[in-house]
Amino acid sequence: MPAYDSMSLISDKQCIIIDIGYKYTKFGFSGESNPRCIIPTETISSDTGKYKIVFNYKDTDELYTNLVDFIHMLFFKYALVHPKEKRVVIVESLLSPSVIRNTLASVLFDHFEVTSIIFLPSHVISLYTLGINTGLVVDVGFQEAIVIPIYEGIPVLKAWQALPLGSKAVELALRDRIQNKIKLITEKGEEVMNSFCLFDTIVEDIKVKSCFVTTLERAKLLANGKIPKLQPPAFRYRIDGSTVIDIESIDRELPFETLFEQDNDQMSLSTMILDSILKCSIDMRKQLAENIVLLGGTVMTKGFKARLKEELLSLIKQPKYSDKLFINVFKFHNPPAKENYVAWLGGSICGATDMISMKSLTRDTYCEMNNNTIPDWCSLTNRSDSVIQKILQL
Amino acid sequence: MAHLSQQDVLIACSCGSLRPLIKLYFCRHCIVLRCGYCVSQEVDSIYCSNCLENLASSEAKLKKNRCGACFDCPCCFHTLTIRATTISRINPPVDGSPTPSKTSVKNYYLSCFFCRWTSRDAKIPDKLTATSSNWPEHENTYTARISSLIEYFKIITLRERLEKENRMFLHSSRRGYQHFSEKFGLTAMLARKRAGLPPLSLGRDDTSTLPHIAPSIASEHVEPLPDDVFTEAIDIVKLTSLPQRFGIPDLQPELISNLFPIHKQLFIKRSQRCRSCLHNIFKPEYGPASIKFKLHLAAYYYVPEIRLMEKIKLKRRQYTHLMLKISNPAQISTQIQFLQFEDVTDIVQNNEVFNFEEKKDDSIDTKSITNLAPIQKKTYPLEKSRRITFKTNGKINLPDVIISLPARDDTAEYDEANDSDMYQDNPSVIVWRKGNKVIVKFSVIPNNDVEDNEDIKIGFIMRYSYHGKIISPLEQKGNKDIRLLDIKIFISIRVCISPTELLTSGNYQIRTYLGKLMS
Ligand SMILES: [Zn+2]
Ligand SMILES: [Zn+2]
Ligand SMILES: [Zn+2]
Ligand SMILES: [Zn+2]
Repeated sequence: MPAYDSMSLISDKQCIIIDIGYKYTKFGFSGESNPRCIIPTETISSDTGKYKIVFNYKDTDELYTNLVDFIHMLFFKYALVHPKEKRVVIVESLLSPSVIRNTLASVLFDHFEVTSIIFLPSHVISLYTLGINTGLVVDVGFQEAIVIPIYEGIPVLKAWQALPLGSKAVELALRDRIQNKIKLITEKGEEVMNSFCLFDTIVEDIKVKSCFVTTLERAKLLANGKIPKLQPPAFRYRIDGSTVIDIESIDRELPFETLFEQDNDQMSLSTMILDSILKCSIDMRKQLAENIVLLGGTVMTKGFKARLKEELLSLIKQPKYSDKLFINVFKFHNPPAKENYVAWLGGSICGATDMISMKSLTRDTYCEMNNNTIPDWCSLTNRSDSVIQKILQL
Repeated sequence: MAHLSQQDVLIACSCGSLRPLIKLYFCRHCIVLRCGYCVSQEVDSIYCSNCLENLASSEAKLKKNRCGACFDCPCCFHTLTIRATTISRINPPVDGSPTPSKTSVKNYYLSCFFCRWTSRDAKIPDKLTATSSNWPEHENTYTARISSLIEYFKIITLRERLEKENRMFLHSSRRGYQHFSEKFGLTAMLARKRAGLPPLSLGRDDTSTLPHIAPSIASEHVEPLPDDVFTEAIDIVKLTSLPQRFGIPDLQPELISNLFPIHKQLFIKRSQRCRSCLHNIFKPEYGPASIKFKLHLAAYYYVPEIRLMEKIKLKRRQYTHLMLKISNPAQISTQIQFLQFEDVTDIVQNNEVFNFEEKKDDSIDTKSITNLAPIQKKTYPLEKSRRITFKTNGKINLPDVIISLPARDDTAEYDEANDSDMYQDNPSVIVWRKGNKVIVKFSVIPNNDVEDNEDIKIGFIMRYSYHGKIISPLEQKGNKDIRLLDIKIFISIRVCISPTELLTSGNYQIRTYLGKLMS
């Protein structure tokens, strides 16, 4: 049982809210309306001085060092506070691997000597930003899309769905399309084809500035090799003074189809949502379909929400679902935040309440634990870890 | 000063990190090396790097770690400067004067010298004064809604907590009942759920006193794909990149024209403490403009420096001479000896975990810890040491000598006298000596399994005598606190081993060194 009596004395202090995504990290203080910064989850190694992606690691030692360097930067470049007497809130996915969770706890307690940590499941706390406690939470991040229904504040873990459908897949599709279109402009003004490996940042930049999610109608035409009448304008993207890529209309429209095309198992982002609803008991289904919450940077893409709704309405009429799911309305929430930091905001709201002093894992307790594995109760659901472990083994 | 940042010669810190000498500290109390990784860092002062204003931590907190007066460019994140333009206005003729009068007004706006963005691009009106305050501020539009949510959940969790405390009280008084309910898995949360009550509502009758909050209403309407994606041509220079969007997290504008100046992020000065004795080992001067230190226990002042003299060419299955220049930075002479890792039993080999406490001197440590004990309420185990990741792939032959190095004396630099006569050096080991510096000859052989063009990595221990106290000339004959310190040195020799390459003779190499030193 965490000792919370002594903690109430310092509960008015702001805690640090960290939502470490695979690609971007959201960081700020509890009770604030938006994160102080959204930065790439990358760091400069204190050993070699080289740039490192935090979650590119060979073993836990490397992950540990990466996290030390990264969190050091968060504290001393952005938070500007001494970590020692701080309380930390970690916003994490319910499906986050335990190696990351345990290493993070070790880094924060052993290296930075923070007072306490609480791990909050991103899907659950996102509902805090809406003042509701039931919803179908769809998080489309960089690596993967994860759907978890939350019913009366409790995640319905048997209904979770996850697929590697995130911006990583979109960027791969875009890269494939444009990799061979790089041109070098010579001094004479001639254009020569050139091939070099595009940096991820360039692909991401092209995606962010020009790609969009097209309508279902157009997607069907494009899938059949037909070209719709109206075309999004093509343009020339300059990498530097002499290197350009000519982005065609189709390159702007097709990459995001990766998320909606059904794969060999007939799975896509939209089927994930319906399958997740199907796995819930009948009395929950309507309520979930009418309380969809979209999270993650990818859902901010132009046309994403409209397409998702079209897909859901069209799929529900197909025999695969029409016999089992009697739903004809899908409703979406609008959180008081940009979708890429909704989960962080949930953490910020929780971090301002007594939940921190009641449910945090203190350094004292952590040091008394023999195996330094984070126990169940420090998670909001009070039982997540063991349950998740069981589910993941299925 | 390129040699200072060299990564060729690395030293193992007491925590296991490998760092060049200049990046290491030396705790005089624990007599061990420390580095940025194994010290405890503290925020000393907070300041703006542009206007050098010093802020108290409470003030910085209030301003969200941003300077009230300085701005960064939202496009390229360089500092914005205030520029003035003179605008002449023609006043209408007054009171029958024949010519309209002209007045010139100075207008001020923010401009980036780097990317040429100006506050006029953001359609921010020019100001009439040069003071840097009063630029339009921006607020998150959802702040009110979010604070009401926070208030709501604050009350809910407070009740949950009170109930939990109540339950704990009940638990102690009515143990039997509690046991029964747990046996059948009828926890409070489940019970409520079965009863059809929302799990967060806590009381039986007191739900009415809960603050009212309007839950978000989901809607069937979603933002459609804007039609203009099919008609509007893309103008890349008018669109923001992700870093530009994230500069203003709550708006994340997609158009450059919607960006506005960002208050400059503040910087800090850090002081660093030894984690085991809690003494300061690095403390900067308080003022932001000062680059001096109050205290800087750099290892550079305490540990003899080893420098690789020159790139050499190694050949397979043959020893090659390696010249290392060693200098004593201390104000007192020292004696140096070289040892293989195997020779020193209490020092652990490459792949094993180093223990923090391992090399601490008991007498000193217990003293310092008891002195400080009242400050530290609770002791926590120190962080586990890191594994040394340096894999050696060559062997170094170490000369079996004890080298005496005199104290550093800056005036000796200008002394033309030959110092070598004063020491009975073996010329086949010590090839050069001047002042507090010597060049020592080693020999290196790569392991047989080394690939062509692979860096050769070797390691050894330098044992040297350390004089613990700063001894004034008068006391010099008194009690000296001398101890031997073992420093683990790791050297990467960036060479290409080519099987066809002929080995250059050692003597020739020495001559080239000496030639270089003379010139
Ligand atoms: Zn260290
Ligand atoms: Zn300033
Ligand atoms: Zn600029
Ligand atoms: Zn110390």
